[in-house]
Amino acid sequence: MRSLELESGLTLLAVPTPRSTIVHRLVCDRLADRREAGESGAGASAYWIDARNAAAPRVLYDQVSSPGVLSDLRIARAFTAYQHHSLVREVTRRCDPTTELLVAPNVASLYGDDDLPAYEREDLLASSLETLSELGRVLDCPVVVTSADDERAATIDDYARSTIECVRTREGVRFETDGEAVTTGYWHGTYWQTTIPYWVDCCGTVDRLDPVTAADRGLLEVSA
Amino acid sequence: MSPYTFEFEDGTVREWTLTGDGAEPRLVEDYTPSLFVSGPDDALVDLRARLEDDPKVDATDRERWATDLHQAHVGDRSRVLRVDLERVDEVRTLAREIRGVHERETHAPGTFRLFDVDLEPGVRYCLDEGIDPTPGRELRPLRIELSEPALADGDVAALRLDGEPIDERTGDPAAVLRTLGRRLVRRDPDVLVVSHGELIPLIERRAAALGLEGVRLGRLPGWTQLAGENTYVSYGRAGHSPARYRVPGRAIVDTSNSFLWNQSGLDGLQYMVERTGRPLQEAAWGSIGTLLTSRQIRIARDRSVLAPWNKWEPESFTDVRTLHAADRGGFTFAPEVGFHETVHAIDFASLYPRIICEYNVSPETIDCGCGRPAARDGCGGDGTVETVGERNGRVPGLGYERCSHDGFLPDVLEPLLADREKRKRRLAADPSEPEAARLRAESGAIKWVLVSCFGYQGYRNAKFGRIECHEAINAYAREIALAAKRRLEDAGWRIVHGIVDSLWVTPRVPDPEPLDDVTAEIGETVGIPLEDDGSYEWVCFVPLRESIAPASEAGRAPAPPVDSSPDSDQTGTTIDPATEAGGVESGPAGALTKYFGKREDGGFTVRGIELRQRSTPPFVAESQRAFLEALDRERDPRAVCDVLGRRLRELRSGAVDPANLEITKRISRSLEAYSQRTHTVAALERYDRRGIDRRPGQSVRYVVVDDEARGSERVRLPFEGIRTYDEDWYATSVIRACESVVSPLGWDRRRIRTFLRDGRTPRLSTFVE
Repeated sequence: MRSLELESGLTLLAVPTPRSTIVHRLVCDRLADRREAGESGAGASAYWIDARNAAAPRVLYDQVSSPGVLSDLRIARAFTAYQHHSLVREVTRRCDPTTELLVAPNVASLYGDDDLPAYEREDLLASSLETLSELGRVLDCPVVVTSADDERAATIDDYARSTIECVRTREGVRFETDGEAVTTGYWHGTYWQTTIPYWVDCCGTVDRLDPVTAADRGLLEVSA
Repeated sequence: MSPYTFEFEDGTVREWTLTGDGAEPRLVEDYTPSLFVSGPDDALVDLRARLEDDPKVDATDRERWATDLHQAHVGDRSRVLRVDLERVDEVRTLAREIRGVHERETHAPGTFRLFDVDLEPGVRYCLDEGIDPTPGRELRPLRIELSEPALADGDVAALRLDGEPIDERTGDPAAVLRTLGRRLVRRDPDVLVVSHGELIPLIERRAAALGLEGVRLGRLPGWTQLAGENTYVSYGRAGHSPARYRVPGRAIVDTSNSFLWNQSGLDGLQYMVERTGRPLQEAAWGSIGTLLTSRQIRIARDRSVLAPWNKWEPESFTDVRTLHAADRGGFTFAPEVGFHETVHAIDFASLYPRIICEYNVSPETIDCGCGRPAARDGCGGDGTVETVGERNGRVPGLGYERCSHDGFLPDVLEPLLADREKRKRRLAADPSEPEAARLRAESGAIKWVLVSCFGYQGYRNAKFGRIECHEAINAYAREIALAAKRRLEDAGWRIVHGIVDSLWVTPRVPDPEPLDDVTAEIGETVGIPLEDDGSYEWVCFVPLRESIAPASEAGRAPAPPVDSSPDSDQTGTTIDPATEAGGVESGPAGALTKYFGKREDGGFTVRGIELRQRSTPPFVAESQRAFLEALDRERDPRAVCDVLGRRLRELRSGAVDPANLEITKRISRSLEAYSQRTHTVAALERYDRRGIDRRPGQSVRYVVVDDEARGSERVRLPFEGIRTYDEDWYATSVIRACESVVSPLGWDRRRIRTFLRDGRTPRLSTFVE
């Protein structure tokens, strides 16, 4: 029995490359668990806001035992930062209390493109992240975003309740939170060497924000 | 007559109208260009108040416009804010301020969407004022040219007019410029066709410095720089656009920065002026994407749809199954590598634009939910095109519903398709040569826009692009290719290769149904004509370079064409963007776009191999042509290698004119950004040393003189007085060109070398070239 407890709120997965499929595994496991628990089928319950063509259908199919696992997932791809921001806004309209999971791989990537004037980049990205983070809070569901760029990861970190680092080592990718190694296994080429209990470990060690701080929106706004 | 060229200065417009013997200016002082803003009502009220004190703003108003095609389609409108400006050159500044200052100070990012911002002044003016800038009489052009070294040296004495040097003898700049001035007065050209835009400041400044007051390029004194030079990346390729200039009363065509001029000349340009509403000078420097966008903006305006500044509209959320079905590329039949006799090429003429028109595919007709009936005139969602009776208006494989109502993209493309048809028909009627040249130029210009329209739908910044529309077009194309394959095979034909809209077929039974009948029937069924694109005595499909059999042994007989069962499903494959080419399991994999053949009406068709590559030096290209001729004559790779032997001897004797060994390469980055010591870098260093500016997107030309040498000594530039060349290096190039020709017959480089080393007596055919 796989049991993966992603926390509600925004989680940043700091991935080694934009093509990383770690997030695919995470999402598919979550969906599979719901299906096993007999919770799926009530319509869309997971939304994937894509960037840089991370949502390759083949990669997703590879992660699941049957295509039906993916039936509750809805994907839309953004090709510009403007579209990305529009999709974030669109999700706020589509989400409801049954929404289980939001995913946004390469969440900050498009905001660095040339077709966006410099004055707009930070504000628009901040606005998207703020919205996603708020959605996680209000809906009480996990919002998983990834970034392969350290500089942008720092920005995203301001909005994240937790951050999981994926550090490249000679052995493969190691996961860390707060500088503490939590890896019990490594990626080897295209397959994942460890078992799911790793994730339980991993997510169990993620540091938490002070709940008082998390609940106090005013305080967060000031610190942001 | 309506005006044909426009200048904008200090808030006024000077429009020039052609007269019988020249052109007349008219000053328009009251033109106020507008941009539009959409957003929540209270935010717009607030913005309107803030803009009232802005000196750039002339007036503001609230109007009802459609902010996208969908809105217009369902009969809806938004109440937007119209902002009129004093000066056209301040539109972008104000747009940036609205987003960067006004929105930022009071509203969340992304509150305001802006429209009609990035239109070039001339295009905007014609659009707003309903002006058709098509020249009303035949234009008088004057060609002014200067070679690049002379331009770098600022040597105006080397100027050429209409292809002739102005003054070869004296080399006196003042005399040359005076002659130029006299010619300008006498001819009074409407269009200056210049080899480089930089000639404008060079000539004007030099004339001023020499005190030649009467010498000026415009119909009035003065000149303006419109835009600085710029390096950009488009579709992953670096491009360079040089600075642009304007002179009063004359349109400038910079041939170093005009795709259309180089493809279609003045005739093609004039045609595009009419169809896009871009005045001549703006049409000249426009890329195909820009031209297409201008036409779209014009037609959108007719439908009360504003042109968005940024691309905010995202695709809709969809499930993984649909995404998977939509994410496939064009349908392709893997080529059967080898030598094939009696091959017919057939193609769906203008496949993608015709799909758009025939099936009413447009951003606003896919899943519009407008309540109008779904389109029923098309191919169906049950996976077959043949079952006409069951058409249900859904995009095959994707399930998107397609509306029958008056699509925008068909409106953009139908007149172009019709114009092209008309020109092709007139050409077929054997018109006089000047007429034929004009028809060819126009037809060529249209073709480029038509071939780009599909890809442009998927371009991320296409103003009216939508990814679902792009996918739908692809889905129909696949369906149509499969339907054609089934019908052709039933009729006794075998597909030896196919790429999206073109098929190569050969009989698979002794007495197949007549091809014309079969193609006519297919065309009728799918609604897109399937045309005869020529018959071939033989065609060779070239293997991918890395799959050319390394194990081929000397003395082995030429490999027979790869035999694959016509019923095998492997003959059809969808290109997977990740793996590039679909392969045939046995035998070498074919390169999708490399082939050559001998047409039944004589002459060769060559694609993808060295002969067609821009960088190939003339000597290598000529050699490859000789190899093709030998193959055609003897149908034997040994005969081809005999010719190769002779070519190599010519090369080794040093008898080849270095001009025939010049290589042309497009540069992708600036000199400093190259990390490897390539020939291109060596050439760039030499250009740099001579003060000639080469930017990414431009080309370099060079001859390899010593590949083993260090740095810039490896090459020489064409104007550096080249006397020698690197024989070994060019010999390898020629052998590679030969390999391309004999590789379909199972020969590789090693076998060629072994054959040449044998030193047999050359056969008679060696000398027939």
